[in-house]
Amino acid sequence: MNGSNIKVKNVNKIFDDFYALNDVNIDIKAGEFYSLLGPSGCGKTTILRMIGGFDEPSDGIIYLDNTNLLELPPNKRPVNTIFQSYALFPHLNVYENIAFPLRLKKYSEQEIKEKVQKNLSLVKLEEHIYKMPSQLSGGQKQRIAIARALVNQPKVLLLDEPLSALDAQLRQHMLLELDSIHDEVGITFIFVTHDQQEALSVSDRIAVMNEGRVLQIGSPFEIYETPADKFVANFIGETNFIKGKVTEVMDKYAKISSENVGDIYVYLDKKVEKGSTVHVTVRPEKIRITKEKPQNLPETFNLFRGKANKLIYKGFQTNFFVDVNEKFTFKVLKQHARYILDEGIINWYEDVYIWWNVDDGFIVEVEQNEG
Amino acid sequence: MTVSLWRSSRMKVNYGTKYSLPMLIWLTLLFIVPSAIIIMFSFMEKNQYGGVNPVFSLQAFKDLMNSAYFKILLNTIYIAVMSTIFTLLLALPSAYYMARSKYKSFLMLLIIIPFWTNFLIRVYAWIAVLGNNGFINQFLLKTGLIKDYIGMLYNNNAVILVMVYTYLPYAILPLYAIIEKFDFSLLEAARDLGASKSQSVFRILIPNIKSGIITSLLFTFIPAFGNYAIPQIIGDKNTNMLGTVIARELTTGRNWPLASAISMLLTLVTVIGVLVFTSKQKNIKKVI
Repeated sequence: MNGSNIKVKNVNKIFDDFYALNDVNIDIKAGEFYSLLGPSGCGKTTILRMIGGFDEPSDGIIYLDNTNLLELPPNKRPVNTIFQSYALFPHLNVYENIAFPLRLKKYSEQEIKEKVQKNLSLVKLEEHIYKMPSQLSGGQKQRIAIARALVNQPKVLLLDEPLSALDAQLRQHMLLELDSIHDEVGITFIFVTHDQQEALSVSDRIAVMNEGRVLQIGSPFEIYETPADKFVANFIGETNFIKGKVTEVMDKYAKISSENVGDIYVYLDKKVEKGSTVHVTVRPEKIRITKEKPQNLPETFNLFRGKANKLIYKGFQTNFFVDVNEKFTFKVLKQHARYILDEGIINWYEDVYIWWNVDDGFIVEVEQNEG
Repeated sequence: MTVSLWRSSRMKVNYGTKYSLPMLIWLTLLFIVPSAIIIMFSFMEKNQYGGVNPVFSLQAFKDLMNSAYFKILLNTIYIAVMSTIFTLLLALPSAYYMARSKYKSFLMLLIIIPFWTNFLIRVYAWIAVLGNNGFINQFLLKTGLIKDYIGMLYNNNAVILVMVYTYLPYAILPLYAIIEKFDFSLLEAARDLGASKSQSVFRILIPNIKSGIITSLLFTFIPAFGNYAIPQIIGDKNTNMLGTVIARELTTGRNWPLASAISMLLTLVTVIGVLVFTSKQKNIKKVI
């Protein structure tokens, strides 16, 4: 493995009495594609800048393998950054931009040439070698920035929202490219983003952050399928939150009575006591919607009758907003296979049935102040 | 088709001439004509009551060959170059600090405030600071650090000091303008890629603000080289500069052709200086 592991240990960043980072602990394995995901201002970029050496923690330590990174100035760290603005040097052409770190290390002209060409071919931009940064498109600048950051053969590559300035299509493309570059060079990537799709699609693991805290660390599907709390559930993808009181606790399931929805059964992934108030989450794509009363229901399910008050047809799928008891609106997502032929077309304001498997709904938060 | 093309191209030419006409008149009347007059005067015979006799003569240039004028030329270059160097060494960090400060507009005000007082008054104020009865001498005498006055005025160093003081704002402003636009994440990128602090400044910051540095150099060097008032007030006969000699020959010396010839010399050296600075800039662009 060419990469190094990074250990962020009990790191705090305090401005006056505001905690920009609050006891952050992150353990990144060598060679991992690791994402820091969270809304703007959650502290993810601050962590990246600390690893890069442009910010210092108020307390705590950051290790790279077994060395304390904080003792090294930025230019001595085996870590390189892809900046959000690319930060290509405008007075140097593509060749000289990539050669910059090599010239500092006093490589011979021949070695520089070889390394620059090797890295340019990695990002597939050989033909632009003598262009100035101002002559390149956003995506090309991005790739040159990647080539320049990799030419030093860092142990860890830090990516600070590298795709945010690109348009949607290019972003998808660059994302795949980043992934293949990661496979090729085999070093540790730390990827900062606020875009959950980006994080889910390329990461080995994701740390979800909010307000300076790490809320959950896990693989993309762990984060999506079993969010640790209400914030994570809401931030990663869409979901339905149902608030209710626990009325019955069984060995695998619990019965919850909600003012708006009625009685529902949920999977018991957290210990709850009878009488406590809980928040339940059900992902929209886990809820099935039919016009007729559904047949072949599983053993355990929640079934409701509702009204499809709003629907957004997107071709490959439809988003339904289904009112239950005129009090609660369920977001339901239906993926279409043979919409017109097999699936009964549902129109606006039609009465529908919605149901989901009990295992697909679970408790994300238990309110504390209940007696 | 051809006709309309011809017309449109012709109309463009007409508009260009029309729009540049005021500028052309301005430059012709106030720059080319006076320059031509100076050139003409320098090739004429001097009139002993001032002015010139309209007779061709090379006497002015023969006078100019005198080694005394060569010394003055060297002294002028020395003062102008030293003033430019010190001004720039002060202006760069000041402009950098201003551009990165939270109090940009306040600091800008501080730079501009001296312009509210007349230039000559500010130069005379230096006599009150540096003179034998000035603040510094008085202070040192009263505190007992010195027993006698220190003569600080009337030498090249005093002239350079006041030049630096006078032209510092002119050097700071273009530098400030370009540093403010500079993307400082580039310096972080340089550090990230292995550059030390000074390497990031010399390899990234300086090349990217080069045009501002050259503007500052010109804004300082040109007025310093042709200066008259500062060596006249702060200096004496040992700190002669071309500007003071021109004034002297034009007034008490009553040698207009010589004054004109010196003016031509001054203009020539300035033009050469400007060409050197700006051609360097062109070379940079070529390398790019």
